[in-house]
Amino acid sequence: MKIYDTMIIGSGYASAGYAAAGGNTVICEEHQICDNGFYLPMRSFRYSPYSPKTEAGVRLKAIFDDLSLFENGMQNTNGFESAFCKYLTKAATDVLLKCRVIGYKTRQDDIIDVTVLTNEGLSHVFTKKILNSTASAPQDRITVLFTTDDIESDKPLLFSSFEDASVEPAFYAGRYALHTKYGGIDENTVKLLICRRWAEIGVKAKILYISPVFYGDIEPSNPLCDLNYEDPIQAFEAGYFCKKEGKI
Amino acid sequence: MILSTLENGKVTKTEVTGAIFDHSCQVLVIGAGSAGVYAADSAARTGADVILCEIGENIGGMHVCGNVTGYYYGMRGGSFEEDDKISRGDTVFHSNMAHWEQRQIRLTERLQKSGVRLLCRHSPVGLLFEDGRVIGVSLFDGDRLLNVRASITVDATSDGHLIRMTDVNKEFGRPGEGSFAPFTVRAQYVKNGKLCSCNTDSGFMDHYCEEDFSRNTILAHANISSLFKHGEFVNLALNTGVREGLTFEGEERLSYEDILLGKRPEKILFWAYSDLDRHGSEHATEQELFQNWYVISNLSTVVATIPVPMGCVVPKGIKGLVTAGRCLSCDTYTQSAVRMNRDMFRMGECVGIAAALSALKGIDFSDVDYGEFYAIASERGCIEGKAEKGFYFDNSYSAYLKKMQSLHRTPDPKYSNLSGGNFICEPAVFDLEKSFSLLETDAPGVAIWSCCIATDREAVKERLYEAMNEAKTDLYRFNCAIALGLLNDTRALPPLREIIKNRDCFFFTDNRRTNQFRSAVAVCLLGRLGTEADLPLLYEILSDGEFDRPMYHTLKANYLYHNDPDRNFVYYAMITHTCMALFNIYKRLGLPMTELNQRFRDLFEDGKALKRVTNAKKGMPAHEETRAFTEYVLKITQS
Repeated sequence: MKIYDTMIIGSGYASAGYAAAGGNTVICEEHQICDNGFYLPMRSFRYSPYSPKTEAGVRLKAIFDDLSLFENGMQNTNGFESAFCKYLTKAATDVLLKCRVIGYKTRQDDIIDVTVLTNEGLSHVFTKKILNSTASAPQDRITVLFTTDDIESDKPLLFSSFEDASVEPAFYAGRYALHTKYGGIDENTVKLLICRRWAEIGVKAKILYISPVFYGDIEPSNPLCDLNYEDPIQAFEAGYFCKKEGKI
Repeated sequence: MILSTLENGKVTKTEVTGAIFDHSCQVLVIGAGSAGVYAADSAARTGADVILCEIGENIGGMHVCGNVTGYYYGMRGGSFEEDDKISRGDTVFHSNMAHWEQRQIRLTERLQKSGVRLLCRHSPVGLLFEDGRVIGVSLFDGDRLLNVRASITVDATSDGHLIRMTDVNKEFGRPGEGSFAPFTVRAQYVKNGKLCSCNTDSGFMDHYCEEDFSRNTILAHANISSLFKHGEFVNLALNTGVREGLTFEGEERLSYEDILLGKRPEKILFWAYSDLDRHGSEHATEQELFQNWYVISNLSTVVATIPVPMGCVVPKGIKGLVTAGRCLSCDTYTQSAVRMNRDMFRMGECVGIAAALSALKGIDFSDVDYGEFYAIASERGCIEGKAEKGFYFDNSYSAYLKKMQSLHRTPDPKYSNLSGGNFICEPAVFDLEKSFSLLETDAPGVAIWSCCIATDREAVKERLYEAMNEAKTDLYRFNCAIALGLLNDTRALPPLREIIKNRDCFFFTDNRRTNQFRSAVAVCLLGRLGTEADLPLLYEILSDGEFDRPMYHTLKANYLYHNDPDRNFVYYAMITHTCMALFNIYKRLGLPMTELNQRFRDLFEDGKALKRVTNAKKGMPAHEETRAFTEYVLKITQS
């Protein structure tokens, strides 16, 4: 029976960095995607250069550089999942996908028996510690990736039609990301509303893809939450140092 | 009340008292995928109060979250056609393709209109039984466990996650070398201003094993970066596309044999339409009936219309629970065929109708009046579909349409609407008298199969033997020999041996892809008919010098033969069929397996044979399939 030192709920770069810092860590993720802080929500395409300080961070950045994911002051967030998975494969990090924590109880020997639901059904993971990298604050922002030949005409329409809107270039020429706010409704209904409004306002832009999940604001109290970081390598090393320096 | 869960791989039953139901409904559908959404909508439109639960945030299953926006066969007809029309029209999305999120929006509108209550991020944890009947489901909503009561529950999870919580007999995995489910990851990129989609067949996985599922998914995602050079990358699919899952014992069972012999059940749930493609290259280890169709008759891309019996969605002995989706009571070969998106929409719609009738009338699903069900399903167009019945050479998905147009078959416009579009589509009629002359051509498959299913086998054998001896061309002679060999007549042996000795690499042309070559067919048959005297001929194929033959270095990967550029498919086919032919002869003659095991060790253990087949890295499909085969043949010859 394998006993982990740490189970981290939620996959992301900070979780992976924590795992890279040593010990026996398992990351438990409910989606079938590993990068839930950058790739899945597409929350930022702006690159804030960060120089890694650790060997593991350098290896991670090398993968991103090899795939040319940081260029011209931007980051190709849409390519992040593949790069991250390359790292996870090489580092042999234990990640359980489509895995939900149903509950847990602490045994007399202080080992935590965590009941998880996966494709296997209900099963148990044993660990000495549980950490949570998922966001707890309201997740009410969503990203619409689109292309247009006339961003200057489309921008005002988008700003006036979508709440708390911001628009940024999304790495490739003619590609942009609209970040907007929708609260209190599910992702399916939000996509429906976005598309109806998009059609109503008559922008020339065409939608490429809408992020399948919401995201929220930063959570400074949780250093393992990727939402706190602009750069995935920075997030990774934040997690790494959390472990190394015993912060959590 | 009993809560039945699947815990640590076992069905676990716990008595519960004082359970509170947070929601109740008449029809509860678990899984908002291709079948589940239409099942829920259809049940609601039939008058039932419906709740639809989905484990993730987004509805739509493979055709939304798996980004499978196009269609590969599947029958036309049903409510999805209206959604298609809207989704493929002028939308706010890049419209050069049917956008998966446009479909999601249409489905959301559909469910809102029909009044289905949607619960996202709700995962099924257990089934609730009372007096032996499923009365609801226990779910986890991310924070707590809750119970939903229902008159009837539909397992639309595609992987049978509710079925797995019952004691009904289940099966998973392929016969043969034991590989599991083929899977794919779809990805999108922009090229020259157009949104393009790419299917990456990523190997096999046991998705019921958490470690295998996670590792393979992560590896497949890592490998997607090879697409970055194709264009401006957009995304990879939210869901991994697993093509097969478990099957179970139902009130009725649909078998591959039923399909190939055109068996028609009394109560048809709906008609499916697909080729019988296994998505793998391990033909040598497949069961005999499959080999008869796919290898020896070379009919891999012939499409069948498949009547699916009502009882295939009802687990045996379990009341209150049915399935909708690719988790059916069928054999593994059938599951490869009954899983196309359009067929899943239609199946969902039909199951929804019957489930609603069951709930509204307070009767079991199996007792629903078939006439009443049929009338509603017909009116919605989801049962029969727009199709004639039978088998077809349907080349609507051919990448080499122009080349196929030059073949001897002519298109009949009457069939052009079978699965939509203008293309070559003509019936494959397995009538021996009408097809016998095809034995004189390079596309003899229909004739060979017609011989295989003929009722008067003895008469057919004599006819083939005579034709073989009188044939003026090798083509005719060898085709007759193959048909004769398929009928287990050892008089076919001399020409078959000749084909193998000559390392005949002639490819048949029946299909738009995956055509077989003569030596592989002959070796496969030699395994069934051969004697001890044939062993040296087969040993030679496994020898070191074999790979020097030009036949293994002439043909490049080609859609008509085998479209995997990572594999030397001619060598792979020859050695895999040869290994299995040797095994079959040894087994039939009672020869010592240890001797054969040593020969296989000599062939495979230094890794040379694998490297001759493929340069693909470990973890890539070509490498893993070859490795799995070598492990299999060593295992079966161990004792």
